[in-house]
Amino acid sequence: MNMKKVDEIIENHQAEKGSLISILHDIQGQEGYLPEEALSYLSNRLHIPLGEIFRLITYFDKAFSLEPRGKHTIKICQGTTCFLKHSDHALKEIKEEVDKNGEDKHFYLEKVRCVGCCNAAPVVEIDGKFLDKASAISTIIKLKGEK
Amino acid sequence: MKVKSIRDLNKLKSEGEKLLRPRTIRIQVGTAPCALSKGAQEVIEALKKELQQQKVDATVVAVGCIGICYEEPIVEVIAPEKPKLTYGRITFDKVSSLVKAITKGRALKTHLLYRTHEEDLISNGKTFRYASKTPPDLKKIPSLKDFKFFHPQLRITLRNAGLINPEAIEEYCARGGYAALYKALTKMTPDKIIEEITKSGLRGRGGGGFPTGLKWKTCREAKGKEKYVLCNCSEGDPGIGMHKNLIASDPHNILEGLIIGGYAIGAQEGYIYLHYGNSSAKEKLQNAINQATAYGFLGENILNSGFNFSISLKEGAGGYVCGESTALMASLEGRAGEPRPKYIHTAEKGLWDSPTNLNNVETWCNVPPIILRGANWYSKIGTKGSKGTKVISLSGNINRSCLMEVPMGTTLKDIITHLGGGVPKGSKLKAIQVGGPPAGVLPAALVDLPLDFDELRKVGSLLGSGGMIVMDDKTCMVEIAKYFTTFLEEESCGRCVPCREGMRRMREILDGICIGIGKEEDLNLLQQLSDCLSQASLCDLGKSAPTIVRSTLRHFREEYQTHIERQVCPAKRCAL
Repeated sequence: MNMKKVDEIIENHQAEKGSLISILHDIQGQEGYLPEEALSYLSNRLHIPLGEIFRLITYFDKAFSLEPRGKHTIKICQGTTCFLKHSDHALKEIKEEVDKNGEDKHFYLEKVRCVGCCNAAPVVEIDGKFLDKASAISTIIKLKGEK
Repeated sequence: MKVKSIRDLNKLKSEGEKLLRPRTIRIQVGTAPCALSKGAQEVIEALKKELQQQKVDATVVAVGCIGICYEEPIVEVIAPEKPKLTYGRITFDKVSSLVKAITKGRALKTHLLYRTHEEDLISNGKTFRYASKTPPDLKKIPSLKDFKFFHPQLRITLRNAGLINPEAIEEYCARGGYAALYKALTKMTPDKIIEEITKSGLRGRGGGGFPTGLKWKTCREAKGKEKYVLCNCSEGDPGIGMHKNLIASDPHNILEGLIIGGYAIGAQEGYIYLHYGNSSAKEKLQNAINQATAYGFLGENILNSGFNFSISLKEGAGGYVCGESTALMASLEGRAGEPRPKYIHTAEKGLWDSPTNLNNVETWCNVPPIILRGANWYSKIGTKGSKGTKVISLSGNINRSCLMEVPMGTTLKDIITHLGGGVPKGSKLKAIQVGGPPAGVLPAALVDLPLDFDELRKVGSLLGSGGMIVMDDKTCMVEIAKYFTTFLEEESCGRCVPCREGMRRMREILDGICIGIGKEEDLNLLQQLSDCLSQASLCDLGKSAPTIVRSTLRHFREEYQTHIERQVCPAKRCAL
C-alpha cells in the first residue's frame, strides 16, 4: 500500500477526536485488509504504540482483518429468526459449495447476526444483495465461473 | 438558505408539500432490507423503464419501511386530486400492468391494499390530505382507517417511516418536522424542556427503562465545561435488524431529538454511534446531517437562538457489548469496546471524562412529538408506569413478519394474533422472546401479559429493545438456550472472569445435553452458574446473559429432563 494514501486518510480525519477506528475502517475499505506496513506507518505518525493498534484490530476481528479477504463477501445470517428457519443448513450447504474444488481466495464467508429482512429468512447476502439459499448457491456457481 | 424564522421554516414545509403532493404522478417504492430482499431494486428499475416507454410523466422515489414487511415489495402511487393507493407484492413482473393501470387512471385492484385520503400527523396533531373524494371504482377498497394492520398501532417514532423520502429534509418538514426544535429553542428554557420530558413519563427504550427526564437532569447538573449527548444505534441483538430500518427511514427525526436534547442538557456536541456494516443507514444519516447543517438546524446560532451544536456520525467496529454505555464510549474514543465498572456514572464522567448523556435511538425519536404536543398528550398514552408506545419488530414462526409501533399496555397476544396473523397453520405457539437475549423467553401461557416495563420485569423478562421473536412447537428450548449462550459467549469481551469462563462452561453443558450426554446434576450446575454470572459480572451483558438459561429452566424444565433422562428431543431438532 502506498503510504501517501495513508497520509490522505489521516488528513481526512484530522478534525475528528478518537479517529483511530475510522482510519482503520478507511484503510480496510480501500485495501480489503490492513497491511502491516500501513499499521507501522500509522503507529509512527499518530504516536500510538503498534501493540495498541493490533489490540484494537484483533478485538474487532469481524470488521478488521490482517490478511486479504476474498473478493466476494457472502454473509450468512444466523439471527434468531434465520436460526429458527434452519440457517445452519444454509450455512453448511453454502460452505460446501464454496469449498468444492478446494478453498480459494475468491470468497469471504461471514456469519452475521440479522441483516434486517427477517421476512425472507433464512437470508444470505452476497456482495450486498439479499438472496435465499437456492439463488445464493446458483450465484456462487456463477461467480466461480467468472474467475 | 439558513432557516432563521418561522417564515423560513414554513417555506421549507411548503416545498416539501409540493414534493409529497406533486402536480404529476409520484410513485414511492420501499427500499429497506425487507423490501430489497423481495426485489425492490429490480422493481424501481423496471418502473423507470416502463414509465419511459409508456411516456408517463411520473417520478419514482425510494422510501423507507412502512412496516408491512410481509407484503413487500410495496409501491404507493400518488396522483393529483386522488387518494394515495398502496399496493403490495408488486414484483418486477407486475410493473407493466401497474403502469398500464396508472396511464388509464385506474387502480390495479388485485394488488391494492388500501387507499389513503388523509394521514394524521402525529408530530403536530394536524392532518395531511391527499384527496377528499373517492373515485366510484375504489369505494369497495378499504381505506387506511379500515386497514386492520394499522388499527392497534400508534406510530409516533415511525410517524414518517415509509411515507417520505429519507433524503429530503423538505418532506420531513412538510409533516411537521423541525417545528419542535423551533419551539424548544425560541419558546422554552432548557429547564422547561427537561420538566416536560420528565412529566411525559418517557423511559429509555434501549431496554433499561430508566426515566429519560431524570437522566437529562443529572447530566445537566453535572459539572463540566464540555458535555456530550449520544445516540445509541448499536443494537446488535440477533433479530433486531428490522428495527434498524427506522434509522434509514426517517433520519431527521433522530437529529431533531438529539439537537433538542443537546440544548436542554447544555451540550455543544452530539454523536450518533452506528452499528458497523449498516452502510445504507450511514449514508442516509450523513446526508441528513449535511442537509440540517446547510439549513441551519445544526452549526452556529441555530434558528437565531444563539445555540451552537454539531453532530458527528461514528461507525463502530462490531461487538454486541458496544451497546453497553461505557463500552460504547470507549469505542467512540477509538479504543477497544470494553466496559468499565460504573461506580462513577457516565452522566458525570463519560465520553472523554466529560458529562455524557446516552439514549437509545427510539428514545430520541420520541422527543420532538413530546415537545410539540406536550407532556399531557404523551402521558395519556400507555400504562401507569410505561408511557407512550413501543416499536416492535416481529419475526420468527409467524405468518406476518412486520415492523410496528403500538401503545404500551398492548398484550403480547394482540401483537401476535392481530398484527402478526398468528403462528403458521399446523403449529402451535410455544414461546415468545420479547426483547433480545437479556429478556429470556416466556411460555405461551403468559401471552396475556402487556407491553410494560414493570409487568415484564415481574416475570423475569424485559421489554428490551423490541425485537420480538415468536417460537412454535417445532422449537427445542434447550437448543434455543444453547443458541443464545453460544452467541453471548462469542460476544463476551473477556474482561471479567465470570462472564468469560462462565459463559463457556454453560455453553459446554448445553452442548452436552443437546447431543445426549447430559447428566442430572447439569441442571443444578446451570442454575449455580447463572447465579454466579448475575452477581459477579462486570457489565449488563454478563449480568443478563444467564436469563435465557434461567427462563428456559423455569418454564421448560421437563424438556431438559427428557433430553437428559431419555435422550429424546421432543421437538426433534437436536441430533441425539
